[in-house]
Amino acid sequence: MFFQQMVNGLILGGAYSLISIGLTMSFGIMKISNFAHGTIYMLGGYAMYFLSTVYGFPFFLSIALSMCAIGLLGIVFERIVFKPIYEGPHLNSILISTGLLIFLENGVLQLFGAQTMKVRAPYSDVIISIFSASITFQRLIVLIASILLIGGLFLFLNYLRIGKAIVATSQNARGASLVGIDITRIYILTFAISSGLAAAGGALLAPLFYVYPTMGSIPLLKAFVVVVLGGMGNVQGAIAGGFLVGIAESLGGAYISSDYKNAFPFIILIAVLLIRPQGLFGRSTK
Amino acid sequence: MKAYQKYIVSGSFIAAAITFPLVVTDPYFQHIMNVVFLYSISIYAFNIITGITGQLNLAHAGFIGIGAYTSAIASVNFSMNFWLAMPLAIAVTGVFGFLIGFPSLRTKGVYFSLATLGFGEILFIVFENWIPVTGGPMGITGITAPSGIPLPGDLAISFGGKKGFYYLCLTFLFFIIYLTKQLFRSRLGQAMTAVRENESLTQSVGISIVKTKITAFVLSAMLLGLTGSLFAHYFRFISPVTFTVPETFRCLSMLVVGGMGTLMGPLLGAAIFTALPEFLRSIEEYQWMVYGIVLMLFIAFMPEGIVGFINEKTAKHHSRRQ
Amino acid sequence: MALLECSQVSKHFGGLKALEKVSLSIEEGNLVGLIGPNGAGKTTLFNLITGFLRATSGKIAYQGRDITSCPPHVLASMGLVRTFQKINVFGHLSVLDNVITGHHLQKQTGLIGALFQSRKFRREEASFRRDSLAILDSIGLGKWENYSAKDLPLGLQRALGIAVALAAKPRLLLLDEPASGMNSEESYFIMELIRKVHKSGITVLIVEHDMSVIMNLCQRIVVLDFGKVVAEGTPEGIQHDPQVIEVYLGKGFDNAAEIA
Repeated sequence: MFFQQMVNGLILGGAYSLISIGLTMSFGIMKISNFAHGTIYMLGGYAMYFLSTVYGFPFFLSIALSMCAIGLLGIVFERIVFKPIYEGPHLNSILISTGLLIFLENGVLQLFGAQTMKVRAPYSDVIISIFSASITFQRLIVLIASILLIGGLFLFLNYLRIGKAIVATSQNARGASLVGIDITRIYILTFAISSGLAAAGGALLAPLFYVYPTMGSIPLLKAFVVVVLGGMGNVQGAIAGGFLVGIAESLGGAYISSDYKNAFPFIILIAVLLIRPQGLFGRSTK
Repeated sequence: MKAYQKYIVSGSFIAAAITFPLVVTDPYFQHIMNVVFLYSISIYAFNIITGITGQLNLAHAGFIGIGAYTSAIASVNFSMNFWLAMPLAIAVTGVFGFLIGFPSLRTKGVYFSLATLGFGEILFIVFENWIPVTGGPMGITGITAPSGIPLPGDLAISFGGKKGFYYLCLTFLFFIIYLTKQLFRSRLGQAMTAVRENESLTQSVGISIVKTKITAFVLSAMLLGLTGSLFAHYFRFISPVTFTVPETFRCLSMLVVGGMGTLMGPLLGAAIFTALPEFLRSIEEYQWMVYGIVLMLFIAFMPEGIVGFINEKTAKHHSRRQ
Repeated sequence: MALLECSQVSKHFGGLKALEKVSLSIEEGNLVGLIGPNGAGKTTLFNLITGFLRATSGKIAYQGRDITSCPPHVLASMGLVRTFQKINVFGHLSVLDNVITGHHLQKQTGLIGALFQSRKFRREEASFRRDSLAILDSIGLGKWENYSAKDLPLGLQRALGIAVALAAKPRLLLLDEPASGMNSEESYFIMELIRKVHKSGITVLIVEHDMSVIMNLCQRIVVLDFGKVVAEGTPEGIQHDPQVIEVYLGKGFDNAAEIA
């Protein structure tokens, strides 16, 4: 049972990491708190629904296309919604992204209705046994894809010139622009990556959990838990935090209570904020 | 505007507010005004912690829930009448405000908002799942209306109907607007504004930012307890679905559009968001999308809200030496 | 007994030793300058004294009391007040309201008094308004009273920052680079303002880069480099001190006044 829950936790954790990396990047590089991040995840789920279930595209192609489509949509959001508030107080980023959240969630509700939709899960019949745990291949794909995408991001940030430019911007935006880095391009690219990864999370989880307009709200909150746990702006922290929260939720739900299962991430959040607000991996400012 | 002109304008509004239910006797419109008042009171509470002190409290709806459930349980399970249940709700919510605020307000800006987001979600989960106490998703029914105040000679002021409730709410609203007005003039209000504007400078003139934030938070929580209690005794039925994070976002939109940190902003915001959809039934389906767009537009172009914008345009810029 | 006494104060940020056993004392009535090249630790020391950072080791005493771990608002209530280099005012408040807010420590009536509009409340309100206008007038900001603080030009904003600090009735006033970013006219204006403040009996400590301000204003100067005190003395003495010259210019110069 324990091992089973650990495996479930890892799968959940992989998805949480994917979603949280984008959130922490937009905070670290653009200095915004994006409360619409959960709806971007939701859009990824809906894109997956349309591509793979309604139009019948092959499964993996649908994942890739969802990621790219919503990543590009993210650029639109960045230019229209976030650009106006970069110079102002931080509170404005929270408020304006909340407006985007309300708009997107209800827009989807109007366009496609409130009912939950089932997404085609072609690999859910294949069951894999690892020691005492058994999982469907469909779920394993989530974990494998997460690891691949995270690995890809790691290579991108550390070995590609533009990736290193992103890292530089997160440390010192003015310094970066002084050495010729185009901050506008960096912001656009960062937000595209952030949206793309969140959409990937939504696309990968959609076959497991259905899609519905408000499917992004709980993942948003959990993503914030992960981001705070890992240190806001810290990508490795988001990865480690994502897996930690996934495992904690899985084990907590199994061993303590499944009704209040959703409360555990928030309890962790509050504990972290009170004891060590800079997170496990963040730097203390005092 | 000269002083006496201001008095004429506010005087007429007050007179209109007092005579409204006598002139407009259709209970439907009275009901709308009651809802406007309920929301207004909660937005004034929001204004205190978020508008004036600058700390975004995302557990807003959750606190209203605490007030509502306290009042409801006191009324249904302990047969308390409104006049006992309501102060109890205010006190209990205030205590929660202190318990949640004391640890959370030591953290910086966005971390505090996230902590309150977490608390708001936990409160909702508790409302939904603690069935023996809150009734779970089915909520609590059979809450009594506020009992009347007996007058000498067999008369009584009744608060049962829409009209009675209108005057009850209006009285509270008058008090809360006066409270906000005097808050601006008081030492506490000036400290709260200072915290919003510049935390470091605030400390260096001797103001404890933690103490100020906690006081603002508890004050706000108490007013939210009042809102919850009024809500429970008006609708006579409560359920968790009213006290969710999206509801908080809706209230936030009202505060932003009306004008954060202003005196009349909360009332204006509540009125716009509550009354307008009633009169624009055709867009009712799309109203939430409109809220989203409106919120985004305001933050991008008019973050000070309508009242804030008006205040800036009419501010005096000449010397006192006239 | 010195008004302010730092004894062997050190501040480490992880492996970085920002300040290493710094000792410094300021007598009541002094006007002291704290200078040093970038990264010398001036700002760190300043933040330690004013309660915005906590020392790793060492002791800071004010009026004989240990204030090493006192938070800024407590220090203000003891008469230790600072200004800020950047964002030093309450931007959206009027100039007058800025200074009224500075009077916080003297306000006695609270919210209850305001709600009942007691006579004491109204008297206090009027008296702080009068005091604040008086401070503004004495600085020359009187006619700007109704302007938003954020709309003031830089020099006047700095002056306003000092006005707010004065409202808090400081005994020891610490000024954080008051002349930074200013042209010579604005620097002169600030300098005269600081001189006036000092003459009224307030002890002043200034951190500054602008040598003309420091040399013309201060009675005593302390020089920091790499987190240590390298020299202390009168402006004349400092200008000719070979250590100081080396710190700023390297070896081979005779007179630090060459760089001022």
